[in-house]
Amino acid sequence: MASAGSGDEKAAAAAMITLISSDNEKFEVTEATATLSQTIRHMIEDGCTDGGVPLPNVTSKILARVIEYCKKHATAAAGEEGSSSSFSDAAFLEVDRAFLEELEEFDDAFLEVDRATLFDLILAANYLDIKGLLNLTCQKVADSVKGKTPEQIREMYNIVNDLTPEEEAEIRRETQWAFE
Amino acid sequence: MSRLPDDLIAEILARVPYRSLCRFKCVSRSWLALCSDDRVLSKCPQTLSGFFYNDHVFYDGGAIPRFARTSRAMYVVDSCNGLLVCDRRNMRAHVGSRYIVCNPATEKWIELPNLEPMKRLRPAIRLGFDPAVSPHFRVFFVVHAPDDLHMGDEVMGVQIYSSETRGWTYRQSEWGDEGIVRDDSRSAFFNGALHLTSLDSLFSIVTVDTDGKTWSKITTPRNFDCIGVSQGHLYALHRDSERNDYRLSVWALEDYDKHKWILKHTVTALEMFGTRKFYIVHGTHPEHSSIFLTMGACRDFLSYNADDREVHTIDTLGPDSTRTYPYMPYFSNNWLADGH
Repeated sequence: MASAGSGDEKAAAAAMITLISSDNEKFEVTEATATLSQTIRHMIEDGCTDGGVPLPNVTSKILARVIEYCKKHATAAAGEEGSSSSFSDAAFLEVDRAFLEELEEFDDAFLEVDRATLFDLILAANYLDIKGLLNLTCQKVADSVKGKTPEQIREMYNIVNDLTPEEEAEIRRETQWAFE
Repeated sequence: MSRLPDDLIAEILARVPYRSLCRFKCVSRSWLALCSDDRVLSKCPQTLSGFFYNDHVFYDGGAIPRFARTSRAMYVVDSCNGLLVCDRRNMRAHVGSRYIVCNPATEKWIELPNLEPMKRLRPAIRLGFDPAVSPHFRVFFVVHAPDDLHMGDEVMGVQIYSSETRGWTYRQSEWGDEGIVRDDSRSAFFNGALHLTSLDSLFSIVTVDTDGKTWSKITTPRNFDCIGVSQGHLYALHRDSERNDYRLSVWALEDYDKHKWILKHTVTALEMFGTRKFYIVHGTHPEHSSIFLTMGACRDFLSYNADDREVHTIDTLGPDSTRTYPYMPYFSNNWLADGH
């Protein structure tokens, strides 16, 4: 149903890959988009993508978001290749800069999701081996936890403290400077 | 976060500053294990936390400064991404080795086996370490022509110590006449190669890779006072001493292969300090557009921010101080298999 990328005129001539989510929804994407995932790239190289690629670990809701990310970043990768020969040209540098800023804005907006979705995206990025997406999502979580106290972390993520009071006191003594 | 397997929590924690990791050790038993895990510690973001200079150390904060203060008989010779190479030259000559490599953040160190040419009073010794690429470090020991040949500072070759093989390997220089390097030549470890400012009459930086196999030179628009790595590029600083405005220029090697330098910034002493005072350039910040300088008889250590053109005083080093060594703590011990 949601045939991502089919309206893209550049993609018309390109090979299309069908991705199948855990709830059996089909997504049609260009090879350039799909191969941002190293997992899928290896499947294409092994020639086992006929009849679609089943992704039993990824729901349609998350897969749609992952494809959105890959489409945007596949365009970025193609753009970089196209302009690399003119790297020193100031005009091209301006274009690059504008495009990079746009990409950054896209990433920021892309990360505006609830915590559960963010963790689902991390799991999907890891399973599909999409380095950029894994880095982006892990950094987002890292930024949200840094500077927090152990109590705040336990509360945020419902973690039960299974250290004895003596053990905790000992660790706190050793890491005193980090609490100042 | 309980839905994530430990290796993905480790991926997240590897992007958290060290101070937060230390706090998170008392979240729970599994977090204690993760925050002490080498996979996390070795990737912990490295940021500039201070500078070492001999007989003294000052910090903005961060890890444990007491290591450097313990021994007045130890001189920092070079620093690179969290490791230091130190000279124990006041030690009784026949006991142990003269040079050690240490990690102040974890208080671990190893001795380097002695070399014959170490008899030179002030040999040029440099460290090469990039934990993002390899947990192994190199020490470069520049070998000069013997003094009685009156060949001055021309380089004969380099002894390279590898922490992987635990031994020195000698490689003959391919720099030719242009390799005029002394212990006070400025240097930077970048792109897997040691870069040194050459003191020949042509403007150049000479480079040698970690295996001593690739020797090359980069032409430069000036004889730089200082080189370093900032924001992913090789940076160079020049203070114009011919004109009395002491103009500082900041250059970046925009295209490494084509030796294309671009002038990033220029400013006079008057514009920086409001007076035409003499100053010494020490280096660039690895992530920001800040430049570190010392000024005046007491060596006030200053930062100049090229973006907002503000000058801040950081500390006073004292009249006898000379070089400073930037320090970015590295919290893992995977660089060291069985040291002290």
